[in-house]
Amino acid sequence: MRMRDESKELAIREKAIKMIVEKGFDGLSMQKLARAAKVSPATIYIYFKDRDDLIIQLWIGEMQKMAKATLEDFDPNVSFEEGLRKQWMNRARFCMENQQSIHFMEQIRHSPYDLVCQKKMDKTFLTAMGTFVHNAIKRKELVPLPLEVYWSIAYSPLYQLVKLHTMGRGMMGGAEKFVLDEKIMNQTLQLVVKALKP
Amino acid sequence: MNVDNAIDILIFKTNIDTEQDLNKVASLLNRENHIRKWNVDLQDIDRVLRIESEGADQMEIKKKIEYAGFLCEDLID
Repeated sequence: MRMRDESKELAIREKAIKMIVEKGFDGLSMQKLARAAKVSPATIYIYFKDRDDLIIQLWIGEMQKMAKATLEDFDPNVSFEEGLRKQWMNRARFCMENQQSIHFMEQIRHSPYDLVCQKKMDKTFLTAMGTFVHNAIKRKELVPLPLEVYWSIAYSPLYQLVKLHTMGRGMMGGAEKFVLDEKIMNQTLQLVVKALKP
Repeated sequence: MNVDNAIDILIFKTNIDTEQDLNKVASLLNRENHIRKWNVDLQDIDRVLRIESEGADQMEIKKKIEYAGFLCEDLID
């Protein structure tokens, strides 16, 4: 009888993500993964059905971490500006503290796994985001827009700034350092809120 | 994925490779009452055959797969 061992599963997950981030999906083999996680290849198959199942379960795990961090202390019933500020703070913090996780999810996005994964998106997260947006529209704090347009205006600026922060250099030839601090974040947020006001 | 305590997971290294091979294996395993689910990881070099069973005999299964003409051995560390 093989029993589940949380620490083994955790080691497998951590090493698998590291492998995919460093070497791409092709760089992930069960043998190499077993060696890296210091378990036997058979152990991996106790937790995961096959390679595809492993990759999808990895995404679900990282997505849930992200959803949890994004929803921390977030109330979907507060004003649009206050809620969006909280979202920006939570998302920026998660991205900066979990760069490997972000990189991995980005790889999934550009892979055939994306279609399967998106269907498994955390429902609590989707509901909270939906409630937040619909409340804001009802209160006339937010102009009704197609979801894609709303998302592009509300969040893309933040993710772009986070990317520049992570790279650590600005756009003026890249010689000067760019740091995304609270002042810059608030300055950008003000413009975004202004753009989304009815 | 949830693994029930009553469920045994058997793992073998095989050379099951094609759709045809899978059909052959299916005709063997699908009629085993002790086997709840099975799959072969065709993307892995060891073509791992994974079986979720309730009390199936590891040696029996191994013999059956080998008798059908496939390699079937324990996956060693």
